[in-house]
Amino acid sequence: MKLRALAHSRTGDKGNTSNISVIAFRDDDYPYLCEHVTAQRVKEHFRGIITGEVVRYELPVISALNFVLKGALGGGVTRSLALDAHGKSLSSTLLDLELPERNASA
Amino acid sequence: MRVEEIGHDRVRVTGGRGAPKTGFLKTSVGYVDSFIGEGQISYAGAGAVARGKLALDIVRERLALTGVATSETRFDLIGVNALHGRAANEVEPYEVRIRVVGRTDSLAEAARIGNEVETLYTNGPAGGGGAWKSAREIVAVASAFVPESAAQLRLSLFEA
Repeated sequence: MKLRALAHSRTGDKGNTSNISVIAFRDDDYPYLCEHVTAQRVKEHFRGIITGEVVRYELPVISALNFVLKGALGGGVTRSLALDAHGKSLSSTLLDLELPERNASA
Repeated sequence: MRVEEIGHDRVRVTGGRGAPKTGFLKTSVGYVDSFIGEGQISYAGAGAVARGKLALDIVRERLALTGVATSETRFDLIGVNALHGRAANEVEPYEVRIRVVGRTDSLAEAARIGNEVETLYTNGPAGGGGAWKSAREIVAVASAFVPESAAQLRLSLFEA
């Protein structure tokens, strides 16, 4: 199942850094997302798209994760050659992440 | 920090904290960074991607042959790999739009890039359409920290 089945995502940009949030539709899914949507998995998923490190921040009160991705925006939004200079479509990339099937539960 | 819903269009926010000012102000500095030249053209129907790739190869070689000086270039297929450099699946789209973009040191040099794409109308693969080009000066923004003590607040109000 893809991450988009369990969460939505927004992006922000600052210089050459992108931040991408993952917000669980249901609070109950948050522990599962924390377990499987790790900084390492996200870095792997974005290989070839970003050039730097990925740091994950947890916001359990709102069942969300925020990923900060360095070297993500072609040298900076204001000078990038990229078609999507702000990296707004990177949220769609992240929501394409494959998640392992869970054991059947409510 | 917690946010709890306490009524219709009403929330209670608790638990926030603060920290002392850093003594620095974040400063955004605008500067003339470079020039960017760009061109796009579309192909449709059977073999659109193949023609698009050939068009990109032609422009790449033309820029080298004619000595267009660029410090950075991109050769994208919009609809295939323009956003994230790869297609997740290998489905052939009905149409594709090529995009050539390069960074140059002058506006005149930037204009040459778009011209090499536009000329594909009659000097490129069959059926190229909807050509578009642009050459522009790039004023970029860099971030810096300035000691707060160095900044004097002055307010100017303009009425239009």
